[in-house]
Amino acid sequence: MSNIIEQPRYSCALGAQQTVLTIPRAIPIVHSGPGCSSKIHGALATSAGYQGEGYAGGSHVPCTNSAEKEVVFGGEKRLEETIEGSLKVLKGDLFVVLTGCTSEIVGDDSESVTTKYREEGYPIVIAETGGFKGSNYYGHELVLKAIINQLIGDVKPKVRQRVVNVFSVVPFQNPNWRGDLQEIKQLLNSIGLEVNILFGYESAGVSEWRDIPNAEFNLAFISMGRNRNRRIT
Amino acid sequence: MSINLNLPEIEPRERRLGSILSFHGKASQLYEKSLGAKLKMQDRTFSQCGSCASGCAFVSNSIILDAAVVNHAPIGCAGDFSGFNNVRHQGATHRGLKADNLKAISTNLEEKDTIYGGADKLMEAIREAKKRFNPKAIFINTSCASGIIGDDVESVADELEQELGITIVPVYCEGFKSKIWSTGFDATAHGIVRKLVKPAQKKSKDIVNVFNFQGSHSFTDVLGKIGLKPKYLFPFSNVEDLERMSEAVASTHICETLGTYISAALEEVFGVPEVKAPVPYGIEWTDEWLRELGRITNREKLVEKVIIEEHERIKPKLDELKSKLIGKRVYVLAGDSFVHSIVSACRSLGLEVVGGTAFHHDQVYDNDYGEVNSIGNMVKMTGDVENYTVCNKQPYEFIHFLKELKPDVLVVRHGQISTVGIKLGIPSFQVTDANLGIAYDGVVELGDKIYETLRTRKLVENIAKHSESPYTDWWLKQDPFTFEKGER
Repeated sequence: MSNIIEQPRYSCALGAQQTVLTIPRAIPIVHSGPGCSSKIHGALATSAGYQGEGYAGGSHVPCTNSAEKEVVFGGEKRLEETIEGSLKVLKGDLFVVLTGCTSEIVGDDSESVTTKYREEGYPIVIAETGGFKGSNYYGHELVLKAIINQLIGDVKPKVRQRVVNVFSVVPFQNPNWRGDLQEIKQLLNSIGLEVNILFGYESAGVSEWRDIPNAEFNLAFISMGRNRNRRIT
Repeated sequence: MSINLNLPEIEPRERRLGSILSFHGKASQLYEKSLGAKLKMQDRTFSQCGSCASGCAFVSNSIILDAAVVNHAPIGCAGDFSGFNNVRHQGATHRGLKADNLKAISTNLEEKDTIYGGADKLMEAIREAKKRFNPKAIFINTSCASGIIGDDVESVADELEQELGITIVPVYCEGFKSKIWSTGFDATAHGIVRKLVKPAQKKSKDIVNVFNFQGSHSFTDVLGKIGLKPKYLFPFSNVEDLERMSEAVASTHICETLGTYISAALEEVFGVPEVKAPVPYGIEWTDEWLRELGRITNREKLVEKVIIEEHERIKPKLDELKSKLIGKRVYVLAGDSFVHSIVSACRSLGLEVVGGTAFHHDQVYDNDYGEVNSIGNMVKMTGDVENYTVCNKQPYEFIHFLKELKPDVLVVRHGQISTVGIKLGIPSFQVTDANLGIAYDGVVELGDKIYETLRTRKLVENIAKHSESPYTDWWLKQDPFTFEKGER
C-alpha cells in the first residue's frame, strides 16, 4: 500500500526553510526549482494560520530558481552565484543552504560549494533537504544537525551550571510555537534556569546556538525526544 | 502561431512568446523593443524565490467542480493544496455555490520512487481519485521530480482512461522547464483543448466564454445589458462546460496573461472568435471591449446605447471618487498584463501612476492581433509609464524603486508582495479577487478599495517603524540592476 495524500497537513523536507527563518537573523538560501520556496511559505505560513514572513521570509528568500539549464548541466555555478549575492545583499548572522529535489536528483555537489564559503569564514552551513527525502519534521532535524555540526563543530564545552537547551515544537508546523516557546522559557526562568530557547522572539539568535555545548543539560519537549537528545549530544 | 494538439506538451513561454524577466525603462520603450520579439531572456546572478508553472496549472484545474487532480510530486509540491482549498471555499461563497473541498491527491513521491520510478504510484493515485471523488475527468499535474526521473505519464493516462472510462488529462507543468510561471496556465489550457473540448453540435447565440480565476461574477451584469451570458471558466465550471466551450459565440478573459492561449486555441481549432480588444478594466477599455463584442455578435447599436447609459450611471460615484483620490500616486506590481489592466483602471480614477513592475513580459501572444497587446494598449490609450520594470518578484530590486518614488499606495496582485510595501510604510492593496476591477462598476469598486487602503497609512507607518529591513546598507546604495546579466 502506498502513501498517497489527500489533504496534506505537512510539507516536504525543504519545509525546513521555515525552521531557519525562526532563528533570529538566520537566512535560508534555497537551491531548488523556482516554486518550492513560495509553496512552502504558502503551506507552512499562510495556510497554517497566517503566520507571516518574519524578518527575511516570504518573497525575500534567496533561491537559485533552477531551470532546465541547471538540470541538464548542473547547478553548482548557479548556487555559487546565489550564495555570493546573498552574502552581499542580505543582513544575516547565519546562512543555511537548503537543497531541493532538482539539485539532489541531478547530483549537484552543493556541500563542496557551501563548505568553501564556510572555510573563508562566512557563517554558512548546508542541509540536504530534497523534498522527496521526507517531511518538514525530518527537514527540521536535518537543519538542527547541520547547524550544530557545521557551525559549532568540535568545541570544548565550558559548561555553566543551570543552563539548559530547549528542543521543542517544530516552528510553523505548530502554529502556536511562538507562544509555547515564550511560556516554556518563562517557566524555566522562574525556577532559576538560564535557557537557550533557540527559536523565536525570545532567542538571542546565533550566539545562543553557539552556546549549546556549554549547557548543563538538554530539555526535550517532544515525543521521541529521548532519541533526538542522544543524537544531538 | 499555430496550435498543435498532437503534441502532449506546449513549448514554454520563453520559447513560444519570447517572454523576458528583466527590463527597466519606459513602458513605451519596452513596447517598441518587443515589436519583432528581439529582446532576449537575461538571467540574474542573484535572485530571490519566484513561483513555478505547477502552481499556475493548479490554479486553473483545481477548482473544476466535477474533476479531480492528481499532483504527481513529492509532498512539498502539494504545499498549495490548503491554500486552494481556502480559495475554493471563498470563491464558492462569492458565486453563491455550495462550498466543498478540493478534489486533489498528491502521489507523495519518495526517495525510492525517484530511483525505481513513480508510475505505479501514479496509477494507484488515479484509481483512488476515481474511487474517492467519482470525477468526470482527472488531471495529472507533473513536477520537477517526476519530469527529471522521466515517468511516462502519457502512457499511464492512456491505460487508465481505458480502465476507468473517464478522460485523463496530463498537464505538463514541471517547475524547472519554464522560467515563466504563467506557462502553467497554458499547460492546463492545452490539456483541456487537447483532451476535453468537443466540436460544437450547435452554436450558441449568446454564451461568451470568460476565462478567469475564482473571483466574483462581475461579467454577468455588463454582458446581460447587451443580451449576452458569461460562461465562467475554468474555476467553478463543470467538465461538460469545458467540453462545450466550442459552442460559445466568443471568448474573452480577465487578463491576456491568463487567457490568450486558450482563446487562440479555441479560435484556431473550433472557430470561436476571440474578443480582439483590451480587457474590460478602466472606462475606455471597457468601451472598446463592448464595441468589439457588439461587432462579433451584431449588437453594435445596442452597445453604443449601453455605453452612454453606463457612463451616466456611474458618473456621480466616479466623480466623487476622483475628488477623493486627486493627486494620489500609485505604483502597480503584478503579473505582466495585469499591470496594464490595473494601470488603465487607476487612470480612469484620475490617479497618477508613478511606476509599474511586471513579473514577466510576453513580447508576443499566441495570436497575431495587435489589439490584444496589453502594453501597447496601455501606452497608446492611457499614456506611458515612466518607471517600468520587469522582474520575477525580486523584492531586493523593487524596494529601490519604492523607496525612491515614494508612492502613496501600492496595488499588487500576489501574496507576499503587499507585505513588502507595508514594511516600507506604504499602504498596499492586494487584488485577491481579480474580477474586482471588471467593467464600469469595477472601476468604482477598485477606487473604493484604493481609498480604503489609503486610510491605513498611520497603521502601516507604525508597522514600518517596527520592521527591520533584511537588506544591507551596502545593497541599498547600489544600482538596483547590479546582478542582471547581459546588456543593460
